[in-house]
Amino acid sequence: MGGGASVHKSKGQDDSDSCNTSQRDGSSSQKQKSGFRIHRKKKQKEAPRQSTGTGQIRPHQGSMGKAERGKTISLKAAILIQRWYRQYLARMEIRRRYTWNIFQTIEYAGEQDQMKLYNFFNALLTHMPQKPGIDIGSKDGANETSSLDSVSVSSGGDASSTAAASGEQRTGGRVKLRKRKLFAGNGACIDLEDVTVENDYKGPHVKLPMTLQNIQELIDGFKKKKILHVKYVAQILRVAAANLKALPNFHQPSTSLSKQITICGDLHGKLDDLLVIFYKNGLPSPENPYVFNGDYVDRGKRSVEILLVLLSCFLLCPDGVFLNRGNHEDHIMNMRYGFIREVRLKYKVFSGRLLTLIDQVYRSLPLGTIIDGRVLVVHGGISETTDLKLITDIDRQKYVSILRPPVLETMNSDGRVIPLSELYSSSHNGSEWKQVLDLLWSDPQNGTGCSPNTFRGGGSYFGSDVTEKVLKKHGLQLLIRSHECKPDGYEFMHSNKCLTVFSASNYYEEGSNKGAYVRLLGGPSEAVEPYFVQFNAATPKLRSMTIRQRVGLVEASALRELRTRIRERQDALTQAFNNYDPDSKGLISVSDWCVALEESTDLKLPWRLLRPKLAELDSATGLVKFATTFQEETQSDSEVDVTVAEVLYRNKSSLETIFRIIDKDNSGYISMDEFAEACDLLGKHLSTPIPQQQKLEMAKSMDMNKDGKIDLNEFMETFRIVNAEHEQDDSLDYEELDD
Amino acid sequence: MAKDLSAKDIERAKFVFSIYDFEGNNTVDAYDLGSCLRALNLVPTEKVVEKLGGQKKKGQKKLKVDEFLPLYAECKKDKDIGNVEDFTEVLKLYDKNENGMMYYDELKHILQTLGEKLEGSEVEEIVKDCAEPADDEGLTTYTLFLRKLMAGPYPGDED
Repeated sequence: MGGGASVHKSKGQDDSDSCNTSQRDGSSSQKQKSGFRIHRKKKQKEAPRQSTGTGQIRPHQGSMGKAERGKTISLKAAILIQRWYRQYLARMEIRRRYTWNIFQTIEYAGEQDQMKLYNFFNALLTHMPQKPGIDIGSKDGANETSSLDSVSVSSGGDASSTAAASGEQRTGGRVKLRKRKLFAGNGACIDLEDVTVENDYKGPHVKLPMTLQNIQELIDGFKKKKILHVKYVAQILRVAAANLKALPNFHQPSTSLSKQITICGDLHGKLDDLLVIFYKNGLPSPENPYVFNGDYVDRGKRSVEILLVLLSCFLLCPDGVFLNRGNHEDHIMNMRYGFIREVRLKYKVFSGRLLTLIDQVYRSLPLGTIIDGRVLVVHGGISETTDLKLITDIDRQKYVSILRPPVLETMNSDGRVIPLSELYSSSHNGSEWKQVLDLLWSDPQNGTGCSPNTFRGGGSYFGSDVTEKVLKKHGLQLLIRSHECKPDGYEFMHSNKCLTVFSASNYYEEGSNKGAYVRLLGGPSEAVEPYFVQFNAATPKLRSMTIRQRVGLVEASALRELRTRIRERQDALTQAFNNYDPDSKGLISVSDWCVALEESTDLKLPWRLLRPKLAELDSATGLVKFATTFQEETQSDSEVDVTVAEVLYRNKSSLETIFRIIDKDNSGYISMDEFAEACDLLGKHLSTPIPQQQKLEMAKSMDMNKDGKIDLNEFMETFRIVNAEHEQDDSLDYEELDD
Repeated sequence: MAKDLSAKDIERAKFVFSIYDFEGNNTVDAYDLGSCLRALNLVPTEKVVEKLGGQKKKGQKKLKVDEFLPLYAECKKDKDIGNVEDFTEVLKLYDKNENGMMYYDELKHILQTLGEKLEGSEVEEIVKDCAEPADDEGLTTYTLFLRKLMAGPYPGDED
């Protein structure tokens, strides 16, 4: 590499010159624009000699002239490459950011749907007999006063209940458990905690009272993908609920001894993130206290494990673990967002009863934490009406679900149930329910003011003035909350008075965001000093990717979600498209296409920029071939009538929720009558009622194994809406209980 | 000056502006001016960005969309963006065997020490994405590198 060598050499030789060149950096770009300058420079050096500048330089001057040119040209090269690289970076960045917008928009719109259908769910819940155990009037809600008490155990012979249960799994018979207790062959009732642990159970054993060793074994077991035996789960849930119940609505820890405290945000079933936190920051103890700010379950696949680990830590160390309730600690949310599915998958016949116990834990969870009387930690946020004193006096046990408050609270004087939308009108401003809802559902906004959170459908948007006011009113210095995913895992707003911390990394997709936790250092007499740790519980695949590949992956995922939503709205969209295309050419302008999409999907997104990814243009006219918007759809070839299927499909994300509500005992099956009833109700709440005959036919066609019952998979499969996530869940990489 | 921009240009400029409007109050921090212009497919140098009003630190200056659009139009006028042949000419200097290859390390060195320097980590990223890995002798194909760089992170997309 002679050339390379000579450049270096000449750099050494022409040291003074190279210094000059670099000092004249700023102006050199202008110089480069005209080659003339370079020549002039050469002339200055080689005054008596001419140079053609084409490389035909006389040998004894050659190296110097060439070196000069080489340096300047290298500079030009560098600058040009750098400019292009910065552009490359900027284009990636913009893509990353708007992909983020897409995810957030879809996520919140989903929650909004949930709320919008609140009235429907309310009706469903009222008309269907209550779930056993959810008895709002009773003190602990755990009474078996359910009127549904037919139990059929179809396996024969075995005296012990465990054998009966496992016998079901082996023979594939069906057990419908409508009561909390199991009947053994001899008719005696057996409590979940009395279930015998099989000899071949290889998971962790837990003997209360909780010890550090128990927790270590739990964590190790979970790392190896073991499922904790239902006996131990029931024990932990029961004792934790009892202990939590005794706590006040706000934890009030002091850092006078520990001199520090750690606050974690949403975990959403991502056990890996919790383990990373414990690895980096240590297990909880009185010297190392933690506040966990809600949303332990849903979405991620290891919600059960997270809940068990956190509750176990709480049992071991009640002075070092402070658990807040989040908006996902709520069975109505769990129906839609995956926790119930997970419990059913892992605990099968026992899931119904476990879920009842979990509900007890939820309603016993305190609503927030106040550290050293100066830092408020709640899951969602606040509103202008937030009154901590009022909340302190509430009986929080009443709120089995935050979305379904005590009946008396929600009725008008004429006995009509108040819809959520009305709750936020002035006449209900003093409502206790609104106080609780605001704590768990609100989001901070830029600017000032306070308004109902229409994005989510519950809670408020609170501005910087609200934060200021509420903090001042209660003598507080800082509000820490979670509830929203942030790219860096945390974010300050409102002049650093409102801090969001979010601990589930890669929440939307691998590579979408970091997780974070915050440590407050120093005791109560020192200033509040937050210290942040960010992390990424990433897989090896992710780590080896370039930024560009990661952004591309997240974007592809966002687009998939978007396409799903578009398909859900196909009917309305097609109508809108046809309106813009009176001559039925199949073509409409890009602007019309954008308007149609925004209106039909209810998503405010940059449609014009997304268009290339979603629909094709007709090359001759430059118009959009709108049929291509739906091109990835797989056609359902069931005998079900198209319009009915689409009505249900459109509400697909609610379908699973509906199914679970109907499936009161969480057995995983619903009867055809129950299904028909649910369709009735759905039809009433949408503008398209479903004809009776079609309902029955649909139900029949869904019942693929012709046993008179529909299971969830059949239900969803009929509409080809088993998505990849469901399929993954159903494939077991966990050990079976009774192997 | 905004009349130099087509309707489509203005729409795209407003979109990019909205993405960088972090506070939701229709302003963009002048620190992000460079990123905005580059996201709109322009290639200003850092010097040009500064001249147009870009800042080196956050919080120094805010721009409204009406102030941003003329800057975009101005920057767009600059036709000196370089093409592959320009670069190739330049990098031939380093291509002693005249086979389209140069030393990977020299490329890194240039980018890190000359001109508007890049950070080491940035150089790693860009080379990982755009260049073929260096062969046993440490050589890499620079024309390929240049083409990929100029094609942008997501070629074939209309953005």
